[in-house]
Amino acid sequence: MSQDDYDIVVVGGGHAGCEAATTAARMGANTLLISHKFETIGEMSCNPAIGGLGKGHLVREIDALDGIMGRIADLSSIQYRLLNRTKGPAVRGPRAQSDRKLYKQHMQKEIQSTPNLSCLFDPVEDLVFEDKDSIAGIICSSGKKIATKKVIITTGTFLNGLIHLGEKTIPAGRHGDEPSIGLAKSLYDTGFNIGRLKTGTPARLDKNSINFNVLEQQEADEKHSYFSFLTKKTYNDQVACHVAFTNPKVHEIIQKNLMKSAIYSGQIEGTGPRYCPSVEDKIVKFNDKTRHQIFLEPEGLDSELIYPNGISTSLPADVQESFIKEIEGLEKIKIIRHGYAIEYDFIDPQELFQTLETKRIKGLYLAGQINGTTGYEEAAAQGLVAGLNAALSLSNKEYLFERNNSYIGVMIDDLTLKGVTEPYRMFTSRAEYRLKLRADNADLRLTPEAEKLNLVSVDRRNHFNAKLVKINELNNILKNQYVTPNHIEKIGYKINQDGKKRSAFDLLSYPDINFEIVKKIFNLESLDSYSSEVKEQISIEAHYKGYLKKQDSEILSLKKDEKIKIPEDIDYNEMPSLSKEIREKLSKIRPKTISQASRIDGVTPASLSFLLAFIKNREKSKKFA
Amino acid sequence: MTIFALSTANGIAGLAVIRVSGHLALTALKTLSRKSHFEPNVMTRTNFYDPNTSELIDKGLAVFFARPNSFTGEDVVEIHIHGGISTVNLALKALGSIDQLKLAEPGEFSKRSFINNKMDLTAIEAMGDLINAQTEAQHSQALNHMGGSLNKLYMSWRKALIELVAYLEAEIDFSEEDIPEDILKNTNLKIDNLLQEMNQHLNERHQGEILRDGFRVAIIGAPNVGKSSLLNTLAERDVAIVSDEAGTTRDAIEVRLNVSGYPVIFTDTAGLRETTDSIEQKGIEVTHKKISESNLIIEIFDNPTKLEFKEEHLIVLNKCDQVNQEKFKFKSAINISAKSGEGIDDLLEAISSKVKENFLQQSATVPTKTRYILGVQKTVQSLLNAKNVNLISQTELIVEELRLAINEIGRLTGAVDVEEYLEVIFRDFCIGK
Repeated sequence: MSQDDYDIVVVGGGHAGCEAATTAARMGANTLLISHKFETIGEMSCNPAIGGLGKGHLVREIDALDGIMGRIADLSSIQYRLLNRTKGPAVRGPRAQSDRKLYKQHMQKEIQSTPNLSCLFDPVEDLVFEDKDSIAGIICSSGKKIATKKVIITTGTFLNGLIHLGEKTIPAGRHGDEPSIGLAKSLYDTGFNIGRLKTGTPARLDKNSINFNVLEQQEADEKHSYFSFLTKKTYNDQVACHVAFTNPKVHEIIQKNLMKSAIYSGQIEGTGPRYCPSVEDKIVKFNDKTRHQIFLEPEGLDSELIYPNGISTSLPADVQESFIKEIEGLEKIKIIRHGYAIEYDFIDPQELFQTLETKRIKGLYLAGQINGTTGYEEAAAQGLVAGLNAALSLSNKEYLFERNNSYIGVMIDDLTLKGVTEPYRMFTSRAEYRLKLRADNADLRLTPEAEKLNLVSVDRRNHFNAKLVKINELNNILKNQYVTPNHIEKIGYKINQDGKKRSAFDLLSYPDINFEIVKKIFNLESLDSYSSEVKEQISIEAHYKGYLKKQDSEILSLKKDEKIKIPEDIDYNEMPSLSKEIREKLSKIRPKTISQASRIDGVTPASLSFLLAFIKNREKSKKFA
Repeated sequence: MTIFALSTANGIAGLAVIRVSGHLALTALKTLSRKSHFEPNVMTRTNFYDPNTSELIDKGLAVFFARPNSFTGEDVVEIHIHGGISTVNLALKALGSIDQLKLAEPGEFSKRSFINNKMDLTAIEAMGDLINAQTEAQHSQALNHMGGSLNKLYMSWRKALIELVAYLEAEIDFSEEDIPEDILKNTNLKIDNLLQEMNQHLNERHQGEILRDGFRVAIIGAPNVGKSSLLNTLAERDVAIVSDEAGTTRDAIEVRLNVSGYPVIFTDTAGLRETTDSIEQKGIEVTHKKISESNLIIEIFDNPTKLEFKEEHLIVLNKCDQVNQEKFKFKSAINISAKSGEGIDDLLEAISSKVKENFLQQSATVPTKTRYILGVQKTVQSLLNAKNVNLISQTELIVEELRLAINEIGRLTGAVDVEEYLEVIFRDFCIGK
């Protein structure tokens, strides 16, 4: 085999592709990004927003690893809102409306200016294999051949995509794009387990045809929570969203036309997400509700388009028109583009290692919607994992994210061990260590890891280390100042008079004691010199102190199990004591550690013990042999 | 975590051995024994106390194996005590009350020993068999203990908790969505209801004591109907002073008998009547107490025309040899003659079936195992913690406590998956913009 043209080739220029390509390039790999055309790089093909609960956490983690999504989202944000602001810090999620055009522009600029990264606009037609189970390169539709040993496929819904608009069906990926049937065929030929999913999108409305005066207005936050730890200012003017509601008249029209909807006529086979139902689904499943809310999201500062979030549909164009016109404020609506549902194939993520490399084909990685996920943030996070590991694999290394250090780890673990039955979206409730995995401490959790991997820029390294020094300094001060409960009461705060001395840090865990009060109690004028960012971090840690300790001890016991590796060549059929069902599951998923095996549905403690004994037995016999 | 478990078989035996493994094993032993030093590998005679009540649990032996020279490779302590159910339960409860100690999961000792490289080839082969056996034992155990209404009860709590968590999670993860504003309204009320049920359940564990203390039968009736005579006949010996003078029995007298293999305690009581005699009044007070403690009440009459009784009592007509037989035709009453012994077999038969009924019923609803009691107690603690947290501004901490509660119950019934919360959320709310 001759010299490779590129170390890594990334197919697809969506959120997964952009993050994968820039990550690989940042790791120093000679990387090529291939897409249909330059103009669609960084396209937000669904709603114009980034972040949210769970999703905002993912963006912060991507940023902590010096990924690009957080910075680009800040550059294009036109409405910052921190969700759950009134709840505890662990469940607050940064979110922003994005200017679609700005997002794309900044993303394209970033791709073009990333060192080690080239682009090619020529659809991929086929994969080239070596010895059937290793990647050797790709062939483009122009006939051009590119030699590489690492290919990351991030083609989203392009696999056998089928658009449904009422009774009409159009084979396509995103609206107006060609589906990649050639590439799909070569993926099917490898024998991957394939599933089918659906998703929908609402009509796009003309801003000028909406009567905003009768609609509720939702403004941006006063204090902006940025996605990137490096962002220090707001780049764009902030705009408002509006809220409209459906009504019984709207529901009646939809009910009457249900059979014309692709979802209800039986035309669609794929499973849709429960958390993003079409308006048809909402009305059928929750028919006692008299109204459903619709967020009217601006697509950009100078855009004439409004994205009506909440009424995705696959009803025919004329029905869409008639029901939207019944909505207060939208009586004179002009629809620019109609809503549609799209069905697409995905590859069972149980086919993947936690590096996102496929188990069947060495050097082939999959990231994003092709793995059955939904959402820009989920896609980008997978892109980062695939890009990082493809680059590491060039020197036979890997980096695995864990459930106890990141939402990224939770997602990868869920996908590869449990698979998906509906488009997978991140929620904070998926993370059992939610109190530890917060958006506010993503950098403290992950930037040191990224530093070890040489994944971070000098700029971020300096910024992070300066913050870390300050946090440690302040922690030291607070943990070494003690006071008696008696003294605290004298100053005027109620506290349990148990005679136990408490540190300044301990005091911060009380809901009514803040830094100002601590400063007074301990005469700590020096506290004023610390930034609010540093102080906030410490008060959050103090707030969750007891719970974090509990979670840490849980994590410790989990880590013991993570240390016990299951040999890759283990044959589960040699273990007749395991039930057939468990043997089949283990053979299919092939967990790498005992801890992973324990998270697979249906694997019992008894079967785990047997598995342990078997592994040990094998090791010993090998030693004697 | 340091783990502990009863290593010998459950039930009444001469000795019972409880094994503790982990870095706090020695501390736990010191706490229970109140001794400050244990020589490794030396059996030491000691008392064991409950650290919370300071009550003596038992006198026995203890031995400490310092790591790595132990079965698991960790610090291990073996506590040898007498094999009564109550003694073992008290010791397990005492250990469970120590911070960072938990009851071992099935196979956990073996797992630790494996992790610490303490098993040789033969041991592993033996373990394979053991695990197979264990699986079966677990299976049958699950069927016996968890298949019935106890399982149903725990599952119903778990379901209620999952619903609660799901609603709270909806409030957290879908706060932007169109979920009902009053979604959190009944949270504390629902927690209170669960707490009440759980506390009641924990109180019922005293019923479990029947198994070791015996099934209590109180014999009541008007003065001089023959209560003591019946007891004497049952015991086939004179335990109570019998005379014709009404009010002879002033204390409750107990006889422990074996009825169809179950321990049954019969209590003879002072006859219930209005009296001015202060000693007799005391006796009647004792009678009332005994009645409230008993599992079955036998009410004796000697005159079928004066039948006034509670439905759940077992009705006995005494002196059947003296009274007109015709008048004794009363359904559900058992005719006996305490003096001649006539009808006593019928009575014993009736008592036996009541005892069996009670034991059967009890094994299904009463937390008979320390594991259940500890699990429910921890669940109760988590629920109490959850109530101390601010519902609005610290929703995530309530969820955390409820999750701990669900995990505890889950250990008793089976694992829990996040997918279950999501299912409830998507079933009950229209989520999605």
